[in-house]
Formats: sequence, C-alpha cells, structure tokens
Amino acid sequence: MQFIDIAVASGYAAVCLSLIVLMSPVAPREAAVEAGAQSSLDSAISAYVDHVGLPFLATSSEAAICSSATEASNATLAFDVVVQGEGCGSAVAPPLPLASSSLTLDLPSRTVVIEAWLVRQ
Amino acid sequence: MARKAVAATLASVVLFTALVVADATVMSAQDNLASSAQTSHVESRELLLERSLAGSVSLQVLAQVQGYLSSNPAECDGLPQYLASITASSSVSGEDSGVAYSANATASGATAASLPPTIQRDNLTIIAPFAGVVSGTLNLREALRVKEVGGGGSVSLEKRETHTLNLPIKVDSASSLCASALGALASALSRSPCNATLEQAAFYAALPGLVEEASAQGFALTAGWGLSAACSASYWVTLVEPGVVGATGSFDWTVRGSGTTA
Repeated sequence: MQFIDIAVASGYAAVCLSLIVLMSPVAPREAAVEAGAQSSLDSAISAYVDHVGLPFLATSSEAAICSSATEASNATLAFDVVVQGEGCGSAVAPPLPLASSSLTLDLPSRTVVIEAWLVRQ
Repeated sequence: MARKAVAATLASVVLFTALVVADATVMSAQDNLASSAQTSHVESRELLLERSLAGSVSLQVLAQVQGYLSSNPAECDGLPQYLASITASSSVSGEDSGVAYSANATASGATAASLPPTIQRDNLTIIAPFAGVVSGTLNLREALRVKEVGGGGSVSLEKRETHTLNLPIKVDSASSLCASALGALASALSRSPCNATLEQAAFYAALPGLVEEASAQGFALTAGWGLSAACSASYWVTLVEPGVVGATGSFDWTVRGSGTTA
C-alpha cells in the first residue's frame, strides 16, 4: 500500500513538473518583448523616412543620405542606409542587437534599404 | 503511518495541481501578451509599409510625368490640352516581413481651379514638396490604392484615397510669355511687310526685351523668323525652363510656339 502510494505521488509529481517545464511563460514573454522592440524600430524607421522624405532618398548623394542616417542614430538606435547595394561605411551593425528591422524602398532611380538596430546598452 | 502517507500524498497532489494551474494561468497571460504584441507589430509594420508604398508609387508616377515633360515639348496654343492629356500610373506588389501588399496609383493632369479647395494641402507629406496643389504649376490628381494582409490574414489594411501632386513647371508664366512673345513678334514683323531688311531690324529690336522678360520669369527664350510666300513672314519662339527641380532630379521643360503674319 505504501509502495503504491509513493509510486502514485511520484508519478503525479513527475507529470506536474513536466507540465510546468512545458508551459514555461518565458518563451511567450520573450516573443512579446521582441515584437515590442520590432514595433519600436518600425516606428523609428517611419519617423526617419517622414523626416527626410522620399524625394531626398531618391535624389541625394550617398554621402548626404549617410549623414542623415548618422544624425538619426543615437545611443540606443543605429541606422544604416544602403543605396544600390552600397551602405554607409561608418555605420556597422552592432554585434548583439536587441532587435533589427529593415525597409526596402523601390524608388524611381534606385533601390534604397533602410536598416535599423536597437542597441543593447 | 499509512494515513500520514496518504495525507502527504494528497497534500502533494493539491500543491502540484495548484502549481500547474498557476503556471498555466501565467502561461496563458503571457501567450495573450505575446499575441497582442505580435498583432501590434504586424499593425505597425503595415502602417510603415502603407506610408512607404503610397510614397513610392506616387514618386514613380511623378517620375513618369517628369520624363514625359522633359521629352515632349508643349505647344503654346495647346498648353491646357497638353497638361490635361498627361497621365501616368504605377503599381507594385510583393511580400515584406509576412505582410503581403499591393499598391497602385494613377494620376492625370488637373488645373488648380478644377481641384476642390479642401485638398489644396495634401497629407502625403512623405513626398513633400510634391504633394498638394501649387497654383501656376502642373497639378495632378492621383487615385491611390494600398492593400495589405499580414499576421496570417488576421490583420488587413486597405486604403483608397485621392491625392493631389504637383511638379513645379511654371505653366502660367509659360502661357503668358507665349502670348506676349508671339504677339510682339507678329506686331514687329507686320509693320513693314515685304521688306526683309526692315522686318529683320524690327525682329531684332523686339527680341532683347522678350529675352529679358522671359529670363525674369526663369525661362530661356530663343526666336527666329523667315519669309514665307506672298510677303508673309513666319516666326517661332522656344521657351526653355531649365533645371526644374523634380521628384527625381532636375529637368528642362520646353514650350514652343509659332505664327505667320498675314
């Protein structure tokens, strides 16, 4: 009787512990944080494009565009703009960003890709 | 002893059950949070795409119109028809970060007077200063449509809007310069019919003033004349507006006019 009791209790405990491990809330929390970071980056890209305007990105020199990307970057947010496959030399992707996002713009005379990273502090 | 063991087992069962229920509750809450955050992310991505797509196709339309203007000179006597005949369209479709999109824009020439005053200023600010109505320039009415579906079909966005765009060619100035230049040359050449020497003198006397007037309005004017049959003289004028700052760079716009004296 005692043996059965211990076996049932142990079995039930094992099942419960397995369920607790399987239903870990860590993964969805990380997914939520990542989605939030992506939304922040998309808002930052939108603000940058609104600020400089598409005609600027369609007609300006790479140097002028890179300068605007540098101005838009700060301690937690890094921008790079790739014009016809050529990125800004000074802007390098941080080694372990919290999140990254990009937007490809098919403009009349060129393709411009805006890349943004949330930098880990 | 046996009772104690059963009690301990039951207590463990209750404790572990409570732990599993608590974990499931937290997991469910986190799942909901993740789901909301994911939906919010898809929505923000769709908004970003919507703005950039609307701007991109509008810029493509402006580029087409710019190409047409730079390679097709306008005629002085058909300027309104020339502007009204301008049409351009652009479309794009694809997929970005799990969002399927399509956008298209169709634009046609419109006079400032024909556009409702409520849309003199346009909210397509991403392509400023080419959005909105600017009096005296080429204005375009654009029908814009953007459609996006993301999040496995759960988040969709569709917009159908009318916008006004502009390209800064000086339409009104060209029209008035055409009228004044052709009128002045006709008047100068008509004073001494059948006398080429006097006609030439009158033509070159009138020309500097016309060139100066055109220059003051940002145009380069060239003109010429020749004798036609039966003492009549034919003359022509070319107006070039150089370096018009368009949506995809600078371009020249040309307007030509001609006439014959009786």
